[in-house]
Amino acid sequence: MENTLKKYLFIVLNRTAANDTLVGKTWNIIKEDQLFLYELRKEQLRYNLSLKTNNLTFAFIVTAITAIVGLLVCSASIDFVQSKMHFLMLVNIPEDKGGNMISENMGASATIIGLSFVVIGFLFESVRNKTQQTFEDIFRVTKLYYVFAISITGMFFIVGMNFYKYTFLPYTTGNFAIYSSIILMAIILSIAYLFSNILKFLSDERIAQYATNNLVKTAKFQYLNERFMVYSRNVLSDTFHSFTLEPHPTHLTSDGYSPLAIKNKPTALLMDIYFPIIRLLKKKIGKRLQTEEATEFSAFHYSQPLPENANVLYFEDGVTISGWEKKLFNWGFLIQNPLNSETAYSKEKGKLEKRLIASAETGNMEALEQALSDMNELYAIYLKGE
Amino acid sequence: MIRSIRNANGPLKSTIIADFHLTLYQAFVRAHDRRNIPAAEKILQFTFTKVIEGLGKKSYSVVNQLIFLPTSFLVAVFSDKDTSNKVVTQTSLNFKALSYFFRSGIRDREIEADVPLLLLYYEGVLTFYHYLISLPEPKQILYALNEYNSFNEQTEDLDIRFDIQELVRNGGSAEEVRNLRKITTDKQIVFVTHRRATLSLVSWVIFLYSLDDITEERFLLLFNNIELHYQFFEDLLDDVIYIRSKESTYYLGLSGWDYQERENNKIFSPPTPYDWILYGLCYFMLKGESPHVMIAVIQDDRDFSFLPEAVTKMLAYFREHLNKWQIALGIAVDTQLTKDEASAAVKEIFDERSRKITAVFEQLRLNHQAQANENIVQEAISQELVDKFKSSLAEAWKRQCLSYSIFDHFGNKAIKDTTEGLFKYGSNLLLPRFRTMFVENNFQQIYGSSDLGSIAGRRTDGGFLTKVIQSVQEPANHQDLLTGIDEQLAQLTAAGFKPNLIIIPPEFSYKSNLFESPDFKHRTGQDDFSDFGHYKEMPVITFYSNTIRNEVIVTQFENAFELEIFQNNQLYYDRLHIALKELTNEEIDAEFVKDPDAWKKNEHGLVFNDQQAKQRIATSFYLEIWSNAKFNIADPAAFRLFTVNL
Repeated sequence: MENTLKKYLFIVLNRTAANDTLVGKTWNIIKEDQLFLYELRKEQLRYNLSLKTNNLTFAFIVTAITAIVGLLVCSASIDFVQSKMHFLMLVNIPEDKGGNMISENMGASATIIGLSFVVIGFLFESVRNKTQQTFEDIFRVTKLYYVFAISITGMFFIVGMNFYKYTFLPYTTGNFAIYSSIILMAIILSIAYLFSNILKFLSDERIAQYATNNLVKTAKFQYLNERFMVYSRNVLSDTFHSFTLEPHPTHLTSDGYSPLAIKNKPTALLMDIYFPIIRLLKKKIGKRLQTEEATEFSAFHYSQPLPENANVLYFEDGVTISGWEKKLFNWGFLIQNPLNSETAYSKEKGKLEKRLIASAETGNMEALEQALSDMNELYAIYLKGE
Repeated sequence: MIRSIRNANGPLKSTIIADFHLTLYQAFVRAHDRRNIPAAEKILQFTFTKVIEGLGKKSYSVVNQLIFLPTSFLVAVFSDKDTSNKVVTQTSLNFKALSYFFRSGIRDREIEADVPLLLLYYEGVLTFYHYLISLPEPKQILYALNEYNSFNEQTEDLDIRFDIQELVRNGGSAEEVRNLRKITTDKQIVFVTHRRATLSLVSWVIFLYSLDDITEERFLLLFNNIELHYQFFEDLLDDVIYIRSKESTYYLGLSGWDYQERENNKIFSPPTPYDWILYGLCYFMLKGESPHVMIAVIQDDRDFSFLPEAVTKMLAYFREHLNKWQIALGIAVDTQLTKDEASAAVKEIFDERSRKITAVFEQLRLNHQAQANENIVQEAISQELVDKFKSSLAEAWKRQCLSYSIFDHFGNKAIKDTTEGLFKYGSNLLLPRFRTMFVENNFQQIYGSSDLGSIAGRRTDGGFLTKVIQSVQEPANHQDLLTGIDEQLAQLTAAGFKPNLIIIPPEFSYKSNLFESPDFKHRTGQDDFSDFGHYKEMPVITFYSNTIRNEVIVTQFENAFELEIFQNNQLYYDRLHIALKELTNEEIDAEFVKDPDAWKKNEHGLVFNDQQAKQRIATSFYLEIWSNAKFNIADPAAFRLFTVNL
């Protein structure tokens, strides 16, 4: 709970007081020094956003909300529609025909969805070089998640309206009929969009192109992360030095010091630091020191595993550090549990290496050239950033 | 034998391309194994494309990752004539193509920035050619060497060379000549690097032939097809010295060259360029068309202290194996001669050539020595170093001089404010080459020099002991130390004295049964005045001096002896006078006249002229180190001296 709260707090801090946090300050420096990296950062943000919005859950939420809004409009009174939404009155449906229309739309929708998905299934079968990644690419590019969500949600609502067509007033049933037709049209359009895009995947070049794009994209982000880590080290070190802190020799333990530590599990990752808390506590506790010996710090690094309850600041031995100071200190650090060490890029890179070796072995020159071309792209990224 | 491609990830700035060289290598090997030669060629070409791109972008890490890969490819297909042929052809052609990167417009660019890439490129090239020479197919080798010979079309800038000659003739300083030469090397860095790389390759080939690792036929094939010319001896020497120097330890990867695979976990001494480069040097000098030698333009180098001896050894090797090298060295004799006559004639020709080489190197060593002496003489003395040396002498004297400490302990001393009537205990010495210890730039530590202080201390102790020993005409003799001590102590006590010190020779501490006596107690610590311990409550001490051999003294010390000593707070420990003096011109002349032969010849047998010999003397210092004191026997009855035969 505390960590979730801290996570959102740091998101806010990175937007409002970027120069006071490790991540914010590092990005600001990169923005000034390395435009290439900052452009990559923007691309990464866009990509992350697309991942968050182009998935089944999000698609269902969006379509469900939209469908509910449509349903609410259907239940609006005739006076309200006449005064505020007059354009809806353009369609005229006899009182006794609304029910039939809903039934017909339901049948048409079911047929279209059923047939379309059978055909799509066949098309997917005919896609060559299928991998999990290929399917993920197809789903994203064809917006299949949305097509699926629109079809299922649409059918659900039409069935619902069909179920209640005799329960409501003929006027409302008429609205349901119109609404079911709109849903049917939406299903047709989304399926048409799906068909127009899915055909691209019947071409090997296009699939290879998507694979390359994916590889290049993950490589760029990997490069960005690596550079970010390098910059963040410098930022951390410089900032701590500006607080007149000296690096604690790595070979020394905390014996002979009064350390101020983070409360963390072993191998947890350091994701951000809020510097003002460090500065405040260093100053406050520093006033109690007997000598002028420099307070020392351990240079931990962004996204790197921490030792359990990592000592960060080392004060003179015997100095009193109160409980609330320890608690406050803990709020200066954002910690995350370790993730799978295999990055998206290392997966993509592994695939490329396999492709290259396999094509060389089989003598498939086309595939070999494609693999070398992909490798070429990665060298280009490396050289651009060097 | 081949630089490991596994080390190529070193300076990468990102993991994006990490290990791609291994992937490419694996793909290449798989393609070759399945006879997919076009695929293998494609991978080779891709490798070079990336190297070119890396050079273009000045990416050291990318070039470093991939430039050794073609050699690894060659190693992988070594036994396959067709594929290895393709690899050799493609690689030598591509290396030649890469050389244009350095050739074209190098002068327009920042040379310093490109030098690391240039060296890396040549390291890659040499790694390839180093392996290539062991290929069985001569045609492949010839093709590749032909490409190699056209890598560099730059020629030596003779104008600068003549400028150097002119500078030398007009009396330019060594520094000026060195600077001019450095400018030449920097300006012609591509030319010079190619020349050094070629010299390394040629020297290696000669070295392999000396080990019988390659046949004479292969040796001649290689030697005759690698183009290397030295117009001037100083260039050859410069290259050899550069490759042998400490700062060139990793130069062009030469230190990694070996002629055989070594077993893991076994200690071995691989051949080092420091040694094998001399094969090239001597071979070039011994060949008929050896480069022109002009000693005056050769820059002094510290290696001239070691090179002559190494060259002499190398020449001895060539002479010992003349039958093997005769043809290679181009030594031909009249075919009408008998076998013995021919052999003698060959040796005569060889000796004539090698005499010239030896003379050149001996002259260089002599010049170096003379130059070193001159540098030392010219350099100002560092007072700090002089003071430090004096302090070390004083400390050594203090540690050694025990007699004064004993008098200090018992208090039977008379302090004098004048040296009149006192003796000097110490030395007045000429210290040859000691000036090197007192200059900062040409500083050299002369080991054991502080022992001079100990010697002065020992002489003082010797003075005291001699005085005591000589004062007793017929000392008593005992067969056992303890019996002797007990007996003499009893006599001394009977004479009304209270003995308080026993002095024994150092060897008696372990040769006698003194320590086993119940009356003996071992030394308790630093504050204990004794050296070994106490016998019947009397301290037992010793002097580490040759003067005392089997003599033992028991005494009431303060009654028996007296010390008169001159003290002054200007002296070290108020007692020791130390002075270091440079020699005046008159003193130098005087020293030279005393023994001119000794100064004109050094320990290596180098013969200096008079001026150079005097310069050697000028590197000396006079050292005065002594204390003024006099040891007196106050009461001969207060001590007993006897001998013990152990």
